[in-house]
Amino acid sequence: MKNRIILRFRDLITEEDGTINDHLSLISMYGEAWWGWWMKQDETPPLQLFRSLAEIIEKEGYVTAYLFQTGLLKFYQVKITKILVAPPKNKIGTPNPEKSPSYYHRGRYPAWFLLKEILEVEFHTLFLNYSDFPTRPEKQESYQKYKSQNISSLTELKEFDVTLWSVYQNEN
Amino acid sequence: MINLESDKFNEINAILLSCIKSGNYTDWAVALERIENSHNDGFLNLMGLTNFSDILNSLGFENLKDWFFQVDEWSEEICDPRKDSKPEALILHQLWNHLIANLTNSVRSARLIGSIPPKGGILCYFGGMTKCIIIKYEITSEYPKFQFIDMIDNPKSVFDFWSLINGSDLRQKNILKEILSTGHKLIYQRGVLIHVDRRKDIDVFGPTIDTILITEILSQQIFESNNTIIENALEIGCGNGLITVSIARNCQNLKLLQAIDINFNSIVCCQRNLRSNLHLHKYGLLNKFLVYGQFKKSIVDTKFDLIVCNPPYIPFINDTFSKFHSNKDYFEAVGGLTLIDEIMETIPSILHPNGKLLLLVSSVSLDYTIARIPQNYTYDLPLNEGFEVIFDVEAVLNNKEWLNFLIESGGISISKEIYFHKLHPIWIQKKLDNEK
Repeated sequence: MKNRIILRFRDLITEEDGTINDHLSLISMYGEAWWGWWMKQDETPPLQLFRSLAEIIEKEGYVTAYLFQTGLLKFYQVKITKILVAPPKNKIGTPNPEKSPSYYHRGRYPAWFLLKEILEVEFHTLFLNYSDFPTRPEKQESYQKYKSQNISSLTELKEFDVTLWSVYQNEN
Repeated sequence: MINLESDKFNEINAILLSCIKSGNYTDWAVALERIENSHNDGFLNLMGLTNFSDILNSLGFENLKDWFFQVDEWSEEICDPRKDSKPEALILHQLWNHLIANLTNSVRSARLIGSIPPKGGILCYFGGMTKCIIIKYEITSEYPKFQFIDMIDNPKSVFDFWSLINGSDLRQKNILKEILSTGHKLIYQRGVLIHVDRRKDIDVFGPTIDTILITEILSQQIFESNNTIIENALEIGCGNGLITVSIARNCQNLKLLQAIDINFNSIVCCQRNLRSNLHLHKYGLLNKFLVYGQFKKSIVDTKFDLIVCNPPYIPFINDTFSKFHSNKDYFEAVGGLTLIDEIMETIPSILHPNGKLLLLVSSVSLDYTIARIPQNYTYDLPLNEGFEVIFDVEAVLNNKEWLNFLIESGGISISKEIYFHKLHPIWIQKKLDNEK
């Protein structure tokens, strides 16, 4: 049972579908593109989770993850081939401006993910369960009841006040 | 290293020492986020540590230059979640991160407003004028990417490249040549990026090592002082605008800023640099008077809290010297001491009773200047011994009679066929009642 992450996003500063399209065009040009994780101010970067994902990447070459467009309720499956995490209480600029959309260049983010592949998928075909809400250690108690439960819909998923979920695929 | 231990320096130093002692780096990260331009002092603080070399060695670097050469790859390692980094590594990483973030904003703004070319080189001064790093930038989309090219230790003039070119590899040599041949001069110091376009900004002076020194002194003694409030300021002879822009950016209470220059192109250049370095709202709110003309008492109708001037400071052999030369304007811009005389005569009417005047003169005219300070005024030399730089004024170097006169007067020294003089910043202010 492999844990995977879902990263939340919206097309706030691009046209509809612009975020995905910009990354896709960079992937078609360079074979990869950087995705900046914009967490909410009161979230905590899940350093332990990032470490374990990076270790999987080291062994297997990539980890599968998902991107969740909460405005259009669209879901994408991606391959992450590298993770860079800012030191504690810090943020970092894009590791490579050429391989990241221009709207990222000015900002600094707590983590960056190098994506190799982006594919839109039907959420209900994935059978995902909640594993953890690692950016909200202070809310573990209230989120406890969801752990190991099936994610019934994207509308339900959207209701969580987080920008990163840890999930796993229910193989049964 | 120029370190006059400003309030901000001491504040950051306390945090740095505490972080190193406790091994907890987060206070440092928070402090650098909170304090504007903190990367400048951060480097000054770090380089001032007695064990700075040991810190670099423990991280696997021979020296600071070695670290800069490897900084991109090294930064990726620091951000690799599989690796635990030492607090010292995180401290250094944060400084680099801040420098690049500041440069990104400055270059982007200068590209949009000041029309800098899409690629070129920037000379960045930091560490109390002990370091100048050369950074190549390239704007591929809306934002620039940077690459460290080389570092100059203890720069003695702005384009102190020559020793570097000899020791550089072919790639570096080509980049250095490119930077020199673009016709664009980009200098970054303490959050201010100055752009001079040699094709358009005809006869605009600097930034020279003189103006960089003045900015450093102002930063450490005025901008970073918790007790100094500057509401109005004047620069006489603003040139490209490095000092004027630094004052505008860093004096939080500034309401009125006046700059004067006898060269119209300097006024245009200074204004362009002001616009690209100030946030739009601050630019709009600040009363700015950029005056094209000769400095005289009649064009100044306010008493200022702060006046700054880097006047011509090379004495002529005699009063009629300039008349023998075809390029009289140029000679008057670099030589002659009349502006020093005029400023000294007008101090009482243009300097607020609690105000301060900062002049930068040379060892060739220090005694002359001090002798002309009005009776009720006192002076202070923040750098007692002065700051030695290359004496590269072509007008003098091409005139043996003039050069010999200056050497004989004791203000210029020679080493390995290079001429040097010392720059002396002088603070002048009214004597307190008990000092009279």
